[in-house]
Order: sequence, then structure tokens, then C-alpha cells
Amino acid sequence: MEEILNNLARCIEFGKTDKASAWPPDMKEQDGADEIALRALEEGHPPDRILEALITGMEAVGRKFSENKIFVPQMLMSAKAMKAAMAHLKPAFESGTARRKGTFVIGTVQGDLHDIGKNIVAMYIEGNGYEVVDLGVDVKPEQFLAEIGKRPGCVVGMSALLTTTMINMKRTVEVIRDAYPDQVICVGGAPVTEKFCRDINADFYSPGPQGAVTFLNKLAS
Amino acid sequence: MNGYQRSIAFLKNGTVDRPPFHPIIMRWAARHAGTSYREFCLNPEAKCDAMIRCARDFDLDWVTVMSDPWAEASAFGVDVAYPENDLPVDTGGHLPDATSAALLKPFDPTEHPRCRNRLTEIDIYRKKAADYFIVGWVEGPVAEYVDLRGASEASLDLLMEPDHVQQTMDVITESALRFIRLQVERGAHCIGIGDAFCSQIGPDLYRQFAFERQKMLVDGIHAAGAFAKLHICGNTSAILPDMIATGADIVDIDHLVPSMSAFAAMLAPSQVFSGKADPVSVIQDASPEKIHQTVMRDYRDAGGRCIISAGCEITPDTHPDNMRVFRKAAEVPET
Repeated sequence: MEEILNNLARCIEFGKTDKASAWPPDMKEQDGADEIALRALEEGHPPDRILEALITGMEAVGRKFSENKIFVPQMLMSAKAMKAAMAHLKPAFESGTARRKGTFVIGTVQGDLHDIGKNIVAMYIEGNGYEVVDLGVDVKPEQFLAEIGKRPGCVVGMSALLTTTMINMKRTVEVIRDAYPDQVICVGGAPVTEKFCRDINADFYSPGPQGAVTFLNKLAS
Repeated sequence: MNGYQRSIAFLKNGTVDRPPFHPIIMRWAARHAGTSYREFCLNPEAKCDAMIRCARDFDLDWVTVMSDPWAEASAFGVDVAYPENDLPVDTGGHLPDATSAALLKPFDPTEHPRCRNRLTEIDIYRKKAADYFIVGWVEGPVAEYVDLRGASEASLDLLMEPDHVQQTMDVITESALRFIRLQVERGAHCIGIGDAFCSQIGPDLYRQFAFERQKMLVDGIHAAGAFAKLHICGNTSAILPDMIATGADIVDIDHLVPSMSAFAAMLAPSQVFSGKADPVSVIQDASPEKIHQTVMRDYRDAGGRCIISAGCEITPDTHPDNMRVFRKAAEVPET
């Protein structure tokens, strides 16, 4: 990979958003993902290659997260860096000069307002080349249905942090299955288990974001 | 032995007829007592009656003031809504940035309704449940900062605005120490420190922001004359040696910690673990045999220095029969 793209991947890996950002301390006053992504585009690097660099950075983030080498704050800094870079790629995605691997619709289930796990999964999936439609928190089954209707072929992901809202996950899956029997549905969240996933007739459970990306990549390949 | 005697004796490494049984019950307690969760959170009589009823019906050894994390946050100015039968939710009044967080002032618990309620709850327990181990509660510095700023923003602040976060956490700790003293004066035998988010920040940030302050809280609880319990849910393996080093008498272990065996030798003679069955896949969903086996395994892993509890809150859907099995499993642990 060219040096500029290597540097971009490094910014994602270490959460360097822009030149003004104080994090990480050993990259102080260096350009961040924001400046480097823009410069890469200006130098004529294809958006797809820039996206690959972002994915490389995110893969390193995911690996370190799953190995307990980094934690939620560092992960969120990487997400911030990635968002800054992705903003420059948005026109390329909209015009079709760069393509994403697929679309992932995500939200916390009705009644659940805890979004940090959902945010991490969303940013990780986006950073791995997917369009992410984040419906936010406390998402009613009808909101998922409406989004699925607008985005044929999308994969749905839903999270619940609380055991009390797991029951709403079951109901949401039922509502989606009634309307779209073949819809691919992923579930996650602290109290959710593989068994619960099977019991409620969802398709995939992962305790962390890496598993979700592996699953999506399999579907996309 | 009653619950108070059993808990005290176990903590002092004395002889007990069985290890104490301290499951964390909140929503489960409200449901068992037929109380709305709003009442449970806001009405000290309702909470205490529900807790005492559960303690008597299921032979628990403790009663607690636990219901939700919003008492201190309310005192700091966060708006909280209390749905009739759901968890309270923060609806506004959060600190907009790390800089404004640093302008936070310590609060006087006696001036805020939710904090006053907690003191009233301890009064009620002293009158109605003195034969149980009475546990008060404060939010730890990281958990409270997260309550005031939101989890994502707080996470970024730890990296981007460490000085402001430190200032804010000093205020949080000062307020918590004041609240601890008041709860112990009212008769709490033990104060729990809830610092859940610490399992998400890793050992470096834990040491940078949480460890010394948690130790200050533990020291403050001891100085006031009570036992200290440190509750951090999630996989705390990376910070468990530090959690033990705070000197907390009871170190809670969640089910995501693979085993207590590697850490048991780090406990001082006056320290115990509490945990660690999975509240969902074991206590709520598993067979009686599995519940029994899990409790036995955890107790053995802890070298017998473990209060019987789940890793975190008992789920509201846990069948009462499972709670009876859980309690029975605490009867004769094989070390």
C-alpha cells in the first residue's frame, strides 16, 4: 500500500482524527485521518483504495479489541477518525465511483436506550466497508420494517443491553419475520446468547463486532 | 446464625454454618413483591418492604438500597424519568462537555430527594431488618462520570480531556465520601461502590482515573466503620488485581471473568469475592443441577472465600423456584 494510505490506516488504528486532536499523544500535531483522506483524494487515489486503507486500520482495531489490547475509549477514538475520513468519501459513494459491500441496518430494540455497544458495532461494520443505517435507540419493530422495505438485501442488526428488553428483541424478530421471512437478522448485547438467538429465530449472534463483520463478509462474498 | 451474623462472621474469616447468600435483586424484588418499579425506586417504604419480603421468602442474608444508578446524578442535576414498570432513564441535564463537567460542585446528599430516600431506606432496615446485613450504595467515579456525560462522550473525555475528567472525578469522589459517611451513620453495615464502566476502559485508564479514587472510597468506608464492597460488572480480569488492592472487603466478580482461581491467592485474609454465576444462562435458564454445579465450581475456584451471588443483577424473569435452587446450592459448598 502507498505510504499515504498506510498513514491513513495508521490514523484509524490509533484514533488520530485530525491535526488538532490531542490523541494519541505520540502523534501530536501530525495530520490525522481527516487531512490525510482529503489529501489522498486530491492526489488522485481511487476512493476504493482509500476505503481499503480504512478497512485495514479497522481490522487492526478489531484485532486489538478482541485481544483486550485496546478498550472502548480507544475504539471510539478510532471510530471518530474513521468518520472524519469517511466524510470525504461520501460523494464518491453517492455517485457510485466507490461501492460498499452491503447495507447494515442497526438499532437497539424498543425500550433499550443503551447505545454504546450498538455504536461500536455500527462503526466497526462501517469501517469494514458497509453502509450503516443507524436507527438509534429504542427502535420500534415498525421502524425496522420501514427501513427494510426501503433497502432490499440489507442485513438487520439489533442489540439489547438489558434482560428486560431482550423480550422486545424476540417480538421485533417476529414482526420482521412475518413481513420478510428471509430477512437476515443479527442480534447482540450483554445478556444475549447463542441459545437466545436460536430461540427467537434470529440468524446470527456474536459477542463482539469482529464476528459480525466476518458473518457479513461471508454473506457478501 | 442470622444473615447479619453470617455475613459479618464470613467477612471476618470466622466460622459460619454456610457462606452468605447475597444475590443482587432489584427488578426481581419489585416483581416478587408486586410493586411497580417506579414505586420501588422512589418510595423507600415500597423498596424496603419488597427487599425484606424477598429476604424472608428466599432466605437471603442481606438487604440493600440498590435500584438504579441515578440518585447521585439527580443530585448533580441530571433529569430522570421514572416509568411505571421499567428502568429509570436519564432525559436531560447532562453535562454538555468535559470543560463544564469540571465546573461541577459537590452536593449535600441531605438536600436531594433521591439521596435522602437512601438514608431513609437504611433507617427502615435498621428498624425492620436488623437481623440482615444492611448494604448502602454509592456510584464510583467512572460510573458517575458516565452518568453525567453519557458513555460515548465520557469514553472520549478520558483520552481527550484527562485533566478536566480528573477534576470532575475529584468532585464526584468528595460527594461520594460525604454520602458514605451519612449512610454509615444511619446504620449501614456495608457500602457498595458501583463502578460498572471500569470493565470497559482497560487497565491503564482504570489506574489513571479509578483506582486511587476507589481506594479513597474504600478507606472512607472503613474509617466510617463499615465494610466495603466493590462492584464492577463485565470481564474485569485485567483490573482484578487492582480491584483487590483497593482493600475492598467484598470484591464482586461477574460471570464474564473466566475463573476466580487465578486471583483467589491475591485476597487478604479479610477479603472475599462475591459471585459469579451468569444471571441469564445459569440462574434464569439453567437446570437445578447446572445451577448447583456452577455455584460449587465458583466456590471451589475462590478457595471457599466467596459469598454466593450471581455475577450481576438477578433478572426479573428468573422463576422463584430457580432462586430457591440457587439458595439451596449455597447450603453445603464443597471446597
